Amino acid sequence: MSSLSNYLIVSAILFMIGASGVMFRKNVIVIFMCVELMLNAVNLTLIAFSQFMGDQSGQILVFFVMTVAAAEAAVGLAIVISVYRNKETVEIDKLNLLKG
Amino acid sequence: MFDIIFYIFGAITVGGALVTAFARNIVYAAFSLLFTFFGIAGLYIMANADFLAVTQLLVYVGGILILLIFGVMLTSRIGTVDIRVGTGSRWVAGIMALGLFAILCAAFFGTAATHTEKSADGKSQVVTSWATHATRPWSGSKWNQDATTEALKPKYGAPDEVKSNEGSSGTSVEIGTLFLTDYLLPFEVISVLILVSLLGATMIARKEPTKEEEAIAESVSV
Repeated sequence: MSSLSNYLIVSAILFMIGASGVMFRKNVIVIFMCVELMLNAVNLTLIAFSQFMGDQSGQILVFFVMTVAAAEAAVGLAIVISVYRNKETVEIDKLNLLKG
Repeated sequence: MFDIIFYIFGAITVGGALVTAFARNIVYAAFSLLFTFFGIAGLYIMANADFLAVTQLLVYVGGILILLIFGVMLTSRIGTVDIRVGTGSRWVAGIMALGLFAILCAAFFGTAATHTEKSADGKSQVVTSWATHATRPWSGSKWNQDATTEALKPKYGAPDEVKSNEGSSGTSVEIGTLFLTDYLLPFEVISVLILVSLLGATMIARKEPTKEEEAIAESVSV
């Protein structure tokens, strides 16, 4: 088995764990962590392919993904904190103000 | 040797991710995320992405993880147990996650999978997919030229990874060149994006000032 497929399998497992965490958990913070897991899985795929193809452009794309992840974490946690200040909870089932 | 270290890092990564996704205690989840990020940084190093591995540690471990732990501390009461979704939705979620895994694997290993191809002289030959390539060297980067030429000889097969990394001067030179030539505009745009998002985050998270505080602020400014 070539090393590329090893990387791809690890990345697929990581993405699966992240996606199942998003679907399983109720706490918004843990859902954030699982989103980070999925982003990392994608980064791993990009790195593996960039190495396999011998093209460093894939690594540049990973930088952009990291930057967007940092921005997402900052804004998302700010929203979570302000929601917590109003509702005293971060459980997604209880944040149902928009329910019809 | 390469494989053993790869499996160790992969096990750290996947184990940390499992604890993150399924631990009942949120603090455990946050700290096992640390192991996942470290494992991924190790995997980056093994893929010759040294600069990115350091960036991974700086940005994820030093920034995002600290931010997440702050979020945990600010929003959860000590001793609360995270309740997961009901059993019905749990089955659906598990099946969906496994289906996603199957789709990803099919995409990785099914794309351009083994097929016969007719070459110019009419002979049919078997062409294998890139993901299951055994003859093509794992790394095509220019740091790996010796191993590439060696591995292209059919009798050698996969390259010796330890030898392939000899003489590597790192990827930071090439990354810097790419950032300031081909990717200059996205680089600038993304720096504006992160500035705006940080300002927005502080705006969203700050406390709304009360009437008295506003009055005090006005009297001070006048």
